[in-house]
Amino acid sequence: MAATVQIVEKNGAGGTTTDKTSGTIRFKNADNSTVDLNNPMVKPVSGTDYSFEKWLRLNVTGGTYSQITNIGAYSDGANGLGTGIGLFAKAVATYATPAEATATTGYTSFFTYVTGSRLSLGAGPFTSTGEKGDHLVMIATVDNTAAGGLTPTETLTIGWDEI
Amino acid sequence: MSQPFEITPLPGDGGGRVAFNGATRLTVLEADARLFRRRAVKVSTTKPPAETVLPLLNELAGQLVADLSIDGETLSARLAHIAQQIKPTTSTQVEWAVAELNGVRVYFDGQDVVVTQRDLQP
Repeated sequence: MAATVQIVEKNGAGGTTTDKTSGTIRFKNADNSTVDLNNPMVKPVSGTDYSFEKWLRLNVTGGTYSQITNIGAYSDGANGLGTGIGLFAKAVATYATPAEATATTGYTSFFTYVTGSRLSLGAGPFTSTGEKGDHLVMIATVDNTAAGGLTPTETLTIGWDEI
Repeated sequence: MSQPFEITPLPGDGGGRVAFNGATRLTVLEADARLFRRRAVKVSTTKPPAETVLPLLNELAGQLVADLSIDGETLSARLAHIAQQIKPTTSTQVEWAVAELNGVRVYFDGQDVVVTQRDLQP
């Protein structure tokens, strides 16, 4: 039997977790995991609108396994969000309350991470239950060149090896 | 996704292992070969169905309030169109069984087999 695994989003000072394994992540101008139309990102007259950080992490809730290794995150390599909209990522070990980003310094475009060149979230080995590996911290950006409205869908993948 | 692979030792003392998903097996015989699961979860920024449907329902409700004489056939067609906007939820979890021997990997998703030296990801 395999490990039972979630991808959780963490919010607030205490890092309250929400299971997003089969859910949707909404980048917005607030620190919460709710998928709604409140606090939307806004196309600026000039410059860039930055979202609040999204803190995601692998969480093992049960199952039977020996160890997890080689956790990583990646994209399909193509920015499908449209002109002027970006998605950036970095790996962080220790949780901090999600804040509104003011720059992409320290981040890398998430679309540069692909199957053959993933963002490593920890080599492991990891055992037992609980959150494993580094946090995947992501921000979205909207430039003044973006079109308005809801953006198309993008998918991020978090993968790992398991025995 | 098919059933998860369970990895167990082969009977006997040869050190081999087998990954079995309830229907098909991937077996390694050499003790120095690796056999592991490669798993992934795909998380999206997809709009939830309610967010797609709500504006359409609001539009229809507004038109009904303005004109309650809409005929049944038209109303039925409008509701059917709204229902068609709801996309089925697809599996977001992927699992492969991977055998590795002397730098060559066999990737098996329960149906297709890929043999390569590349480090493939779901």
